[in-house]
Amino acid sequence: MSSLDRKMDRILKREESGKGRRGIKNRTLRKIFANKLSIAGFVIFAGILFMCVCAPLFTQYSSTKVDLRSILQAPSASHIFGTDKIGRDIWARILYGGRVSIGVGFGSALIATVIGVSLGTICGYKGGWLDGVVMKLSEVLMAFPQMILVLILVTVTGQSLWNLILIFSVTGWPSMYRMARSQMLSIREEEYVQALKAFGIGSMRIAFVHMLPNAIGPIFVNVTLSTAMFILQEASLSFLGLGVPLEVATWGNILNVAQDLTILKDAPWIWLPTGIVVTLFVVSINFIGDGLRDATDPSQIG
Amino acid sequence: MAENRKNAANDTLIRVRGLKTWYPIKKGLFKRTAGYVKAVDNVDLDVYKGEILGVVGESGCGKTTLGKSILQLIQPYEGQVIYGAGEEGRDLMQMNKQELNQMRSRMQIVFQDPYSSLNPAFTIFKSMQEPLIRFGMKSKRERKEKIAGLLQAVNLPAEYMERYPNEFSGGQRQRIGIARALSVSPEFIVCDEAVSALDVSIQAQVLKLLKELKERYHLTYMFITHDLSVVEYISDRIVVMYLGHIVEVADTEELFANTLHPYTKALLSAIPIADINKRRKRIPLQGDVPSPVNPPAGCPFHPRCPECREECRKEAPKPATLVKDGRAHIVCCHQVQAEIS
Amino acid sequence: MENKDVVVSVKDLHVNFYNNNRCNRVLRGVSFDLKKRDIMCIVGESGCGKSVTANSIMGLLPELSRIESGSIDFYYQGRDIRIDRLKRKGKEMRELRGSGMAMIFQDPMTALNPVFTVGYQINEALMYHNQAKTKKEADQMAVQLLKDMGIPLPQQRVKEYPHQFSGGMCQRAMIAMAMSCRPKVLVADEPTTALDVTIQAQIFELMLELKNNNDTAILLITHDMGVVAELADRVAVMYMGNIVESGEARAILTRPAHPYTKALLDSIPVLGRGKGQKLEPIKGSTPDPYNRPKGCQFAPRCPYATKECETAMPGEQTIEEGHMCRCFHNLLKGEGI
Repeated sequence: MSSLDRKMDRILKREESGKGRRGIKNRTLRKIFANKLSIAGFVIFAGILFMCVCAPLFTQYSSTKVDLRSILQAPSASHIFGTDKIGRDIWARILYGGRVSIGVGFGSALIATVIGVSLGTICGYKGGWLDGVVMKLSEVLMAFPQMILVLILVTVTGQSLWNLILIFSVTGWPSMYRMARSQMLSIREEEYVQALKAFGIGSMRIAFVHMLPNAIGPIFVNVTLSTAMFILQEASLSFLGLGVPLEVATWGNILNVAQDLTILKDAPWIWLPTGIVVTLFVVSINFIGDGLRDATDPSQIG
Repeated sequence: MAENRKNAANDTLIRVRGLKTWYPIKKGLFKRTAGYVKAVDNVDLDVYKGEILGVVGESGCGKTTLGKSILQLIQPYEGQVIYGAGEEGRDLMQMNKQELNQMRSRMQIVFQDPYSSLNPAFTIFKSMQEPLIRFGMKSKRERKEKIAGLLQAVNLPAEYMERYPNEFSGGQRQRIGIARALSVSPEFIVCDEAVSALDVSIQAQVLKLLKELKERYHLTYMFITHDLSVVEYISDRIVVMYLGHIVEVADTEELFANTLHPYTKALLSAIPIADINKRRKRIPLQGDVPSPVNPPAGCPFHPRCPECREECRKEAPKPATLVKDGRAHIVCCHQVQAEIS
Repeated sequence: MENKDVVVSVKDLHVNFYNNNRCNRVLRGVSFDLKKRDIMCIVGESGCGKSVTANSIMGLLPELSRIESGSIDFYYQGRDIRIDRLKRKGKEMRELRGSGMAMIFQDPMTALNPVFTVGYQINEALMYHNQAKTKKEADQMAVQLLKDMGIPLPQQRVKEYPHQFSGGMCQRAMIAMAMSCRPKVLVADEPTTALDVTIQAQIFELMLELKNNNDTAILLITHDMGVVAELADRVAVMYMGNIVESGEARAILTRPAHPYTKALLDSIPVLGRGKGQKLEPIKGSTPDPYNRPKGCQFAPRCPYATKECETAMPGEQTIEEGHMCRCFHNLLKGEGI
């Protein structure tokens, strides 16, 4: 007997016992809760986020305090993940660094979304020359190597946290724009939009008040996925020394020292826990995003 | 009814003259206009006050485009759409956006697909209050009362306004769509295939409702459909379209009793009649409707016409008006015109 | 096999759908026989289960659904094949589809694969069912088939892609494909709903020809009473998963016994009856399939309903030769039948 048959038997039995549908009525919520991976993802995500935000509760060390008496110490009771080359506590650096890394990722995703979705909503609804221009601009930006953009900005203005957010937002909005635009293009054909036009209602009001709420599902999914992407990008840029200034603790900057072969070989406690936390966090966000996508996609059965 | 139909000619609500709705076909790198899809081509039509004007034709004949062009929901290419009788008449196509937006409270549309005509993210109240706000109803309590009244007018309980569209059946949604169109107290409503997507048992409910509302609110309908049995039931006058052209216009009884145009004849004979005692001879039509991108020269119907003559291939026929008992019967066919004269 | 003319026999078929974690009893005991050289129409409103019936016969039910009980017998090449017991995607079922029974769908434009030429798709069917041995032979047969379907310039048309065909031509190509192996049964699920009336008339002519020349049994699913009146030999009226009335087309259309059939006939405008004709809408709307009435499914909307109707679904009653009705108050009772 196949698993499908068993599933059908289960539903049949429940219906026959007269209980009908139990639990959550909303299909989207029900599908999210049925997806074990996305629930696990949400637990890990919330855990890491909570610990980073409330970092002082979980460590008494500071992330920047140099302690030359205890450099390169292996994990012990006083420093649970050990210390780095200049004696800073790794655990404290992971927690405080997380604040910055998550902030950069989420902030950039939010700004990129605001820009991309606003442009996509206007262009997708109105079309015309504006749409053509913005479309070409987004194509140029998507084809432009991000690394070069970073190098240019770093040489012109020097390294800073805000530069990074700026670059991520500038390179990140085109994908949001395209997604929002294609959503608008399909919603535009719905008859309720024509009905609003027939009442002479302004196009901005139609686009933002009436159409946008129907595209919120895919937009939300995209926000989570690009947050994960930006966190990874921050880590890799900082690892190369091009990201956030080194004195600020971020996940990428902690990993930066692993460029040194001796540390890579002899002091795995510096980079391994950080690497695991970054991986866990990004994977958990992706799981949430996947769960959301399946839940908001009406073509999926179940 | 019969009284005011006699002087109907004085009460023209909308006069359409030489209306052309052409869509450009863009080609190449620089989006050169390579040609036009002539969805509606050179249409003259009068809509009388208080009548139900049926527009029938097969898919792609331009009937929906005609309706939306009259409402200026689709920008026509050329022509006049004069709204209002006699001296008051104003050309909608000459109006600027503000003036046109003011006109939107006088003419409305009911759509075909009840599943896409309501915003799924909004409650019925939120969807329906939008036009009321637009036309200056500030107080929320007033809007609530108005919407409750409208829902009752289409035989739905007022509590339904707090619900979302997915809680309703197709027929109920269609009634909400009608209520929404009525909310701005229009005098002219285009019903674009308004009952085509509904189940047969629901179709009758909506048709009856539309008839009742017409009497109660003194409305004028333009009823666009492909279903001739529906159009026969509801319309006072019928327009038959083929490939962007009007081929025949007549009062309903006259059209069915005295069908003139060969296309109308074939169309009528092709319709399956739900009365088993009326199985009859079909006039088979060869081939398909030609593409409106390059319509045939001469009469648009000539490649499929069983009575095609030499001149049909060369020259497009002009509409000829026959008058019978004071009522006009317009037909656009060389053969028919030759027979009469 | 009491009657050698019966090609497909469906008995007490129950099908459930399990979408959205709910169980929808879509078919609730459907029985009918499909005879050779017979056009049987199943009419009903959306959601009544008419398409599900067709798909069950073709073994094309969706993933989250199954036949709970009942049987579908297909009498083919002297054998009695139990379709309900075959694996839906198994080899036997695949071989049966196309050669023994074929189906045409509502939307011809999506039923053909847009990336292959029409000729290639017909060839494929011919080769799979060993109707043609070589590619050349298949090509010739494809051209002949399109010609039989009245498609002009068939030599040229076989090399074209579906988007170059109009809707009517696509449907004719689909019928050509369906008929390529001369199946015993043709299941047509709303074959003309997406087409214009003048094209619809052409397709019907074609189906009548097939029936007369090939002895094909046709199961025609439709919601249009006009189509029934024009084409059907026999009719089954479905409502909420049951056949509520079935019999000869003339009997059903002129002397309906079930209140639903009568209400349906009274609610549609009939061409030629003029503007004054009276329409009697059926009150209410079809019930929620997850929250069905207990007894007769039509009881809440039925003007004749009594207490009895609310407790149990009436059984099948033969009210006259070949005329079945499921109603406690069949409307012909008064006429002494």
